[in-house]
Amino acid sequence: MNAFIKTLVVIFLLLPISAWAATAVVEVDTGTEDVNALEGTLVLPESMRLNEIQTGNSIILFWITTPEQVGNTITFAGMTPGGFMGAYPIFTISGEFGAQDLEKARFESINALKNDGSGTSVPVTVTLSPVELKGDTEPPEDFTPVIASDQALFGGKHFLVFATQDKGSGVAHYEVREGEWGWFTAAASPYLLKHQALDRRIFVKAIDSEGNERVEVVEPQTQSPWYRLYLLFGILFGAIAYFISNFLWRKRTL
Amino acid sequence: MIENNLLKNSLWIVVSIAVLLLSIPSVYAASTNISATVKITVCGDDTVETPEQCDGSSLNGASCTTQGFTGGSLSCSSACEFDTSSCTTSSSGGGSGGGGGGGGGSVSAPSTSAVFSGKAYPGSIVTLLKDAQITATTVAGTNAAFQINLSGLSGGNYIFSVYSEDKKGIRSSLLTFPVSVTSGTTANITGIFIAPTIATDKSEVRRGDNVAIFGQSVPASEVTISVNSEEEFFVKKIADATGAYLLNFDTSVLEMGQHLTKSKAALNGEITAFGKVVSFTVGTKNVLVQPPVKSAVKGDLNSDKRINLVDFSIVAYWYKRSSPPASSDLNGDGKVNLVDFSILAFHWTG
Repeated sequence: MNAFIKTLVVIFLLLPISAWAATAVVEVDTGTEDVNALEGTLVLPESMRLNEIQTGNSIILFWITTPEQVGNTITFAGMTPGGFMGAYPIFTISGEFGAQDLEKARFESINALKNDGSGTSVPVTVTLSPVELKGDTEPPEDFTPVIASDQALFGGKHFLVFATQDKGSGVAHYEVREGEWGWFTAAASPYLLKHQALDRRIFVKAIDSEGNERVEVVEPQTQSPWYRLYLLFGILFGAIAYFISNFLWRKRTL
Repeated sequence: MIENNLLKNSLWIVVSIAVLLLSIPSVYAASTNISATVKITVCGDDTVETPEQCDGSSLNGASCTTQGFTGGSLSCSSACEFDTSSCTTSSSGGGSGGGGGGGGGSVSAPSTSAVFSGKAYPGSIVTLLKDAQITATTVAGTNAAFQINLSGLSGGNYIFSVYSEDKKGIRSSLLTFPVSVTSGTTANITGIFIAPTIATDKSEVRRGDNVAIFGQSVPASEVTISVNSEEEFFVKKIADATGAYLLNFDTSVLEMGQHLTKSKAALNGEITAFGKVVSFTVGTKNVLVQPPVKSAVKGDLNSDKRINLVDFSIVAYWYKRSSPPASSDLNGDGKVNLVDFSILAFHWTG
């Protein structure tokens, strides 16, 4: 076997463990402990390049700190009401890396709290291992946004809270639109409402990492003032009158 | 020389194959641990499991004739029950009129759903949470049995929780069970057995006097009450026809100081986990507990008698911020951190 063939064989064999489009899952194993809150940091080796972090199918239901890459670290924190016991996924990472990179990655400051009403810290095992990436064509789960107010938040003004899950790729972000007109803008819960009169419909859109969307509507809590309706009718009437007169004038000039 | 080269190349191939095998990533397998004493079966996987009558094409050996008909074609409904609409009964003798016309069946796309059944307390409201948000409620029967059907699910991992409130308004602990739902199938979650409620009549009891420990469970169930001291005492009581149980515990066997009590129930081989833990103090005087009301509990920041997404949002706003309001600092350590969220998650009602 000459050196050239040997080199080719080595290159071929090392392909799977060299930089390659791959996906890995961060999993927590609580053993026999019932855990309801978890936080920690994943430190990535310099060679690891990530394209995406997905939270689909995560055991964490409410993120306090959504996993995001800052430098070579991913910090995360979240809770699951009622708790869970056993081994479950937390989030997945996708990018260009190999098995060697996964071995070099390490976890720091892992803190898991018991579902005992006082938040007792318990030991858990967190691992990073390769996983097959699955497609996602389903929208996020249906959800019910709620309008609330509290003196401890936004000075007692009305705010909107919302959260949902996506079983495939995970919710990437939310968008909100207040009223029938206008554009959706990126938003996070709790969201301070611009229109405190609560007299218009509010649309909340959840978008998953694959672009699938679900829109939920919050109906107005109060009626619109009469002049807004008259103003709307006035504008509509004016626009129709303008188009008709314009049409008639053109017809006459032809 | 030739032999030496042959040996080297053979060795080279063996090492190459070993490297190739080592470089294949291991296959990830999701765990499906269930943290509650529930049984999960899947309707739609062509496997008949109790309590299913059939599943898809699998009729478990049944036919129209075993169902009391004389002919026809037996099928299985989307709820995994026998569909006898295509079964026929031939008339004998000259008697009865013709049978009804058979309707053409339509095959609908399989929906992804889940059916929950179990026991709570007689006449109690049972609340089902899907991923920690209220998704359905129902009222348990006089025998404490309940069933909830949930449709419109996606394929994936869900965390379902149930809780109930007894006739005195005392809330049970949250019974949580992760369920992996397969798209196009119905998951049957049976054997849900909500732990008994528990309360005491005194917050402080004079040593030697009785403390009443009471609550509600399933009628005729055997309730085991634990009183935790240096030595743990276990007392068994049978719930009455309304599911109520009462233990007058003689505190002369207890040391002075704080004690904890909790209870679990068993019926027909099924058993609950221990429910909520209630504390009382053995001291020098008797202090009665105020009648249980739906009072605000820890974590109910906006005082709406619920611990849900609104409360989470308020605590999350103050996470790691300076000078949080006392209401958001649930353990009173002057900061809002993961411990406060753990306490909030424990008291969650959805």
